[in-house]
Amino acid sequence: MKRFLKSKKIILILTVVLAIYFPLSTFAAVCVFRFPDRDVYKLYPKATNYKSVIKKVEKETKEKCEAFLGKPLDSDETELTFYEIYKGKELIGMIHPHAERGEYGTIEVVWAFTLDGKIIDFTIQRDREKKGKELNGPDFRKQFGGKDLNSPFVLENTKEINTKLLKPVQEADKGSSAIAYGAKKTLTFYKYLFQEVK
Amino acid sequence: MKFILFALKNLLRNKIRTLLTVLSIAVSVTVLFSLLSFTKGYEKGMTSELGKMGYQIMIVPRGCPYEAASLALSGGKIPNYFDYSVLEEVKKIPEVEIAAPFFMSAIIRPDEDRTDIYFGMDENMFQMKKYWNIKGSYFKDENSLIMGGDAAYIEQTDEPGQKFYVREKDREFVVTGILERTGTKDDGFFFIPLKAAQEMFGQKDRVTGIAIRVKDPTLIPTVVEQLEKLPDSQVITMSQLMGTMMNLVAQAKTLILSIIIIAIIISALGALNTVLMSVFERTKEIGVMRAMGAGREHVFQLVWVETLVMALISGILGIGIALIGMGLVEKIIKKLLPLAPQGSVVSFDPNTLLICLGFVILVGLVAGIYPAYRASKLKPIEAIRTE
Amino acid sequence: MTKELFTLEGITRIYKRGNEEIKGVDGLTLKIDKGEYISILGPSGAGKTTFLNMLGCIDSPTSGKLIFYPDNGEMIELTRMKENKLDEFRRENIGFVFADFFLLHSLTATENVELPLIFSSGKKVEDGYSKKVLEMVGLGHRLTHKPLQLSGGEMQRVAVARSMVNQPKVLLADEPTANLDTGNSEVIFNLFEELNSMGMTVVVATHAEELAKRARRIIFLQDGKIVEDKGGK
Repeated sequence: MKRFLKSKKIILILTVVLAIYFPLSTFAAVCVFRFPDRDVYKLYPKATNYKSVIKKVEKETKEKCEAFLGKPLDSDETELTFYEIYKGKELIGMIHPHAERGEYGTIEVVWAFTLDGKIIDFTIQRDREKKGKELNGPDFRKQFGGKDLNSPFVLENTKEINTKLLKPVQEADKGSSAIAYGAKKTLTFYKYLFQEVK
Repeated sequence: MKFILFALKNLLRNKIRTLLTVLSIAVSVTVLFSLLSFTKGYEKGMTSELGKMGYQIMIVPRGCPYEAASLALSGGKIPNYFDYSVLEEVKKIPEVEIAAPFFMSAIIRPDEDRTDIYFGMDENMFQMKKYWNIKGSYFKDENSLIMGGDAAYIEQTDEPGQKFYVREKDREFVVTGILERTGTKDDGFFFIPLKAAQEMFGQKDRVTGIAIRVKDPTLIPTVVEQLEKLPDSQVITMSQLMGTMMNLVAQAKTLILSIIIIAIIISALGALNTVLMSVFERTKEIGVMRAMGAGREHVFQLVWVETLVMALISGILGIGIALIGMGLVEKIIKKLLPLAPQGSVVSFDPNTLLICLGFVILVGLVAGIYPAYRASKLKPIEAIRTE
Repeated sequence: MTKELFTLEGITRIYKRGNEEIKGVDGLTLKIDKGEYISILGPSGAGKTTFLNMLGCIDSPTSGKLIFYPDNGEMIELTRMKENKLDEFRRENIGFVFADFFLLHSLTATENVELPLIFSSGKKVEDGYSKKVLEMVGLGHRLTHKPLQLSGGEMQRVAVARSMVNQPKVLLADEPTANLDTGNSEVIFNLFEELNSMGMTVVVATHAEELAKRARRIIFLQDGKIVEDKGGK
């Protein structure tokens, strides 16, 4: 019995040691695509395959993006990952995960958009919003369908949602704005990293 | 011309052979030096890490440690709790300076691939966390929250006053402080007032553990003895933690050390072979030296010094390489070692340098004995006659 | 002070080659005085080298007695001395010159000459003495040359300088001109004469009869025995 207690104690000590020293698995780059195998097919039911493309944000691109957005980029937005979505061998669309602070914490949104930069849909992979369910709900989401940079769904030089074009979720103005601004930023990155490069 | 210079010139006669031998010893020394530096640095890192905790003893309820493990690793319900009576008992021990109760629990969010760990604490614990650098302030009310550095980074929270919401418990907090990274587990925690944590997890007046700071570290055993009398509690001291940790490291170290020793023995044999070959090549020369009045001891010394000089050069070279490569070793170790403390794990220590140099001198001395003996045994007349 | 330097009494050296016994020298008995200049002549295998090796104590006789008389009036029986004492004896009293020069190719002329000094910690030699010796043998302009940059004659002169650097009492030269042409051989023997005139005892084993005759005393060896000893007292 005594021996058993001793081994229990060792396990306990190890546990505490591990608790103190094991690096947190939650600590990762702000926006990674956490469940590609689930979300790719949710956003593109016809998809058969996907491929990641990593783009470095060079100084020139950064300046263009910031000029367009009227806001500086985040300090860690130096390398961005996009996903090309395939149906067989045909490229049918893009995905880019993007994080923006909402009212209560980070909202991580996975954006799906067409090759010519029109939003198809999105899904929230992480958030801490009180109205998280509504923000991820179909009523709010479907408003984004077909929107592109030609429609000012975010007020110029702000991070505020343009209520004339998009109806925010009730009691979640900040969360709604964060998502809308994320959409604008995603499309802006796509424009300067893909469309205007070719 | 000096004896040493002569020995050096002899070594330079077959430069490639000498170079290869020197390199083989140097590599072993590099690895040895790096390993020893790593262990020193690791110990140092661990000590400073444990020192940062601000307390020397922790007591937790006796319970199944497997459950505790599951909590610590992935979050979950804490199996057992103390009530405040235990805290009162602890406070009665005169050697205790601070007794800080805490309540730790976790919320797992599998859909989001994360676990949030909430750490409920009061001023006592805050006092122990003197090393914290807070942007903002300590709790202002029951709805205050302090975010660890990594947690704040992930939540893109950079200003006190921003809000935080725990959906599972429908509880809203206002961030009063953001911690600078400490390099400890603190970085990932959400710190909330003790009462708020107890309420949120429905464990009023209960704590998951008590961290204890003793007035004087020499009193730790006395305090531990008294704590062990408390019912249903487990006492863990930081030195135990350290010991367990260091044991794990020591085992790995022993393994690597034995590999290095073998490598060094092999390179020592290489050195022995090199010098022995050079002795055979110089048979005639040694005979001439004897004819000129060199005694056996001179010949022995000469060959021995040659080996020693070679070993010494190798040692210095090896240590030099190790010093230059220290940063790289640090990076590799941190990659390989999941339990690496945040600070530097490789540290330069003059003792390590002396140990390595001493060791390589020893290797040189030992490897030199046989060739030196063989050389000194050559008879002058026979040596000269050799064609 | 005695005039004698060496006394040899029945020195015999037997080599074993397989089952065969070869007598290198056979019952040599003679005296060598201080300041003598002796040539050892004789056909190959007559025992000239063995004789020199006995005198220089790099080989010890199978039987017989070898006595050395240092300046202090003592009498040392070399045949009864321990090896480390013999090393010391050689260091202080003997200079060797070989047919093959035996210079170290990795060292310069000066360094080669200095080599014996490395081992003689006791004996003080003035700084720059090795340079002086090299100048004496006419190589003042070759101090930093390595052996392979020198001619055969120059190499042997370096070897002579090396044998002199310890200021020994006796110079033992074993076929010093075997690998040299006539001109160079002449130079070497001139050097020996010069050293002898400075008081050094010189014993040269050689094949070159003409040169050998320049010595005051000539010993003929055959089959390890002295067949003629002329010029001595």
